[in-house]
Amino acid sequence: MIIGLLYDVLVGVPFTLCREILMKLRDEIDKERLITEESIKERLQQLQLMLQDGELSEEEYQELEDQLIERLRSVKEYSRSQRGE
Amino acid sequence: MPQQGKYIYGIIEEPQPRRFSFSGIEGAEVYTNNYQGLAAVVSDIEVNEIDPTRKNVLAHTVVQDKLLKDYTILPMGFGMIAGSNDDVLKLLEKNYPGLSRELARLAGKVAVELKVFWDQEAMVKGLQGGNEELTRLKTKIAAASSPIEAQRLLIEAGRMVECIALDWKERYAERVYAVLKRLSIEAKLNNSLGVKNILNASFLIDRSEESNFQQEVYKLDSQYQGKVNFKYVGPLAPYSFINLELEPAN
Repeated sequence: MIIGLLYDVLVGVPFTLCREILMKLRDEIDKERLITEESIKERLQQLQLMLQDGELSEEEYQELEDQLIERLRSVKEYSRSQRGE
Repeated sequence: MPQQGKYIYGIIEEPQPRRFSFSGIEGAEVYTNNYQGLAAVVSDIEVNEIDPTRKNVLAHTVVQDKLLKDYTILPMGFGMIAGSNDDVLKLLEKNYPGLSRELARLAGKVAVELKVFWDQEAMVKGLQGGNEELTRLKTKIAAASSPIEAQRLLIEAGRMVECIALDWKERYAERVYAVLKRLSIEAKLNNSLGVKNILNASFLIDRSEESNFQQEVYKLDSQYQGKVNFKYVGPLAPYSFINLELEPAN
């Protein structure tokens, strides 16, 4: 997570921490690494903070929120099927 | 047609049925379901599950914030839906002693939240500030024979950032928490919200003390300005401070 910051300091390539967090989030969603409801809700909270701070555009936020909600539905569906509901 | 449920925002003390002037989730009317002096604040909803989108979470929070102005509220977490008015009443009936006790205990109290983040510019300055080890790494990265080698060196440097972040956490965040904890009735640490977040805490305070508490937060903020950034939110419904596990209606 802090490698981007180090690019700034050590390599001189502008690479904000925020972009890095976004990339990590996209990676987590793509590779289905978010497997609990709690972790997905925490990511949603993190995204909302980034949006409030202007570190994320409305479009970027919406795109990621849609994906996370989709992922949350799948996780809930899976939990229900495991409980035999 | 989907079955109509009751979305529950929280529990208040209110003997009379009420319909509020503000709206709730999906613009629905907000009203009370009363049981022996207690009331569940609800709105009608045509689904049995609701997504925690920003829009929905905001609508949920706005209702609780409005209620907080006039009531002590035991807030429900986002997404609590009962099947019918009868289920809501059963929930109140089943949990009556616990709900009454918690409402009495939390009367006149509110929660506030403080999040502290390290400042990125300050961290960059901290890293550049005559750190010999980093200067050595910088030279090595510039001369790295492959991207993999450069990545390995960056990871090594990453550990140094973690050390600085840990030092700031001890030096600023823990000190802030200790000071504010002393001024509060109860304090709780919450999960960190990412790498920059070195403190995420909730405090339960007397409503009458909010202004003093806020002044202390501003004082601490100006003391540590330039190194860390404060995000203060309040007053809030006391989510983190309710000592009650609700028994389901059914």
